[in-house]
Amino acid sequence: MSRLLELGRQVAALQDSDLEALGGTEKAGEAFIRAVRRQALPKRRRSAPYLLVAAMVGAIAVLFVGPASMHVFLAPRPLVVEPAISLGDTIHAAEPIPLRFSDGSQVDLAAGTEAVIRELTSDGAWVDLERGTARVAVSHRPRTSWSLHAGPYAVQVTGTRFDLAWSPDERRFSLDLWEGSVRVSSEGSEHSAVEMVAPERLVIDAKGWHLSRAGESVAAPEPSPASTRVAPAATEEPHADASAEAAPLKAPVESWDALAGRGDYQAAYEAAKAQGLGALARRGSASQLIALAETCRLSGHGSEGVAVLSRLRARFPGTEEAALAAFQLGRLTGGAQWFRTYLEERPDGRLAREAAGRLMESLEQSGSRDAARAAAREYLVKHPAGPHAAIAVRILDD
Amino acid sequence: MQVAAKSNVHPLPRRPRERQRAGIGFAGDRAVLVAGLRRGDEGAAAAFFHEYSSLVQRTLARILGADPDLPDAMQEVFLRALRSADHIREPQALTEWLRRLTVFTAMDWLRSRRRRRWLLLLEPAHLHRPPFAVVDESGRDALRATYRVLDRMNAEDRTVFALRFLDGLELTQLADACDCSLATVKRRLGRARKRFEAVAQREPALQTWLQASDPSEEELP
Repeated sequence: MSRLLELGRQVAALQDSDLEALGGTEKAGEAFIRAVRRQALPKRRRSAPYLLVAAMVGAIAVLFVGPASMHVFLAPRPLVVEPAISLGDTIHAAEPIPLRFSDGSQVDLAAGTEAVIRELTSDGAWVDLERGTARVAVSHRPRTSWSLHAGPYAVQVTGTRFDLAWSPDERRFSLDLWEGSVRVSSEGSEHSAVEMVAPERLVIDAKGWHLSRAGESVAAPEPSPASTRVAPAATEEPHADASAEAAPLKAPVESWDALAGRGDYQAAYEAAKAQGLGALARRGSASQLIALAETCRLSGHGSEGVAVLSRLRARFPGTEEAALAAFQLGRLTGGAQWFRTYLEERPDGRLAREAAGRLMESLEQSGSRDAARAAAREYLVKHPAGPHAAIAVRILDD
Repeated sequence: MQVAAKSNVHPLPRRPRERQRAGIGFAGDRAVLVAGLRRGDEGAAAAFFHEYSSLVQRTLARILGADPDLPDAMQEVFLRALRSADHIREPQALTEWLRRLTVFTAMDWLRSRRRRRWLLLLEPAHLHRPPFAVVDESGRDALRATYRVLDRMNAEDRTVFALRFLDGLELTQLADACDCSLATVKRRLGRARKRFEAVAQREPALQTWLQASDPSEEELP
């Protein structure tokens, strides 16, 4: 028998005895069962009976404890909507109907629209748009959880203003985002999702997903404004990556970040490029841009990673991610100024010692002898036992 | 405003206890087990976990080594299994399907570990602490050395090596677990073995195994 197989058997036997002693399967088992429960009973579908129980508990508490102490027991209260509408009832708007919620949010239904309020919680609401158009303005609060569903599509909202239209006959979804950001996903397909940042417009129909710069706002929602809205306005700032505006998104395939999460950086890069790196860099979050730059780097497209990191710094100045981007720009370009920037922005940051060492190395490699010696002296003062200490001593001795 | 009577467009799903009361026997019948999982039946989930947790834990341990995040990786495998239950085409091949899922989760874990290492500038040792007290016995030196060598291999090579030599999978099983052809898996294994032997030269604890290891003994290309 192969000696490697023999080695493997010995290693496996030791591992098995360790695993037996270690246990640790309970945590995974409990999490699994919890997930099964969640799948069997989605949280947002249990509104009516749970609200009823909550109301009864509240009433009993008021009787026994008194209103003065009620906040202890009933701090999170579900939103209230005006006019009063029962959960689950279909609203047929023969004329425009404004729905006002107690968190300050408002959903204006255009004439001819049908909608259902499925759930009201303390943090938001779940509204189904069965057909027609709604203008939505959600008030942003520390914890906001609003979702609107139109056909197979879900719009997750934290605080924003947009027009949503859904035509079940044409299977056409459109969303004009005027303020804030939303995430639009397709039910039943884990990777079909788009993060939108205002002003943008998303249309989903038989031809696919199309994301573009949103056109001018209309005064009031109309039965089917999506079909008449034009994009983009001529006066708007031109996009750096114009191809991304008109090009259909290949959203229903697999997103670049899902591919990157699987470690398939080449495919992730191709997917990101298909969506337009410029567009992604404009609308992604800071942490997404860090991951995008990493995807570029690991797929052998360092120069595009540099562009993404530069955009991150422009969009999110002063943040932790911006400082990290400076450090990574130093790593990718070898430019000493980026390590210096990191040290200026985060003198006591997690990467400060490493940045100080790399600054010294970069200066030496670029031939800036005096600056390298100064950086080496500074390094030894601050980090006498640091990993670059030997290099600092050598630079000073040369 | 016109408000219609109660809509039945989206009927509320049945509660879990009701689902459980529906009652299904799962022992031995994988088709029924899979059907139960798809319905979100807690009894099916418990039976599924009970039957397969050892396989998943062992496979992850072979590939990842003594990773402190092993329970998290295991949890991830089962959650992925739940999300993908609708895609199980052959319930009778559930074991093979789950092993594939475990292998791919482990590979994702390895890649993510590598990414974290790059981002946080950590050395491998920081990310690879054993979760239990390691007793310094003779065999354990070989165990630690083996994973030090595997830490220097890419995710694909590491995985095929671990499944073949540590978990003892046959080549056909290995090809199935990695979802690739027999020829591909042989090629990967040959490459992985060469890489392992090259890096292992620096590990005194593995010298005994390397000196006696003759490639001609193997069924590899």
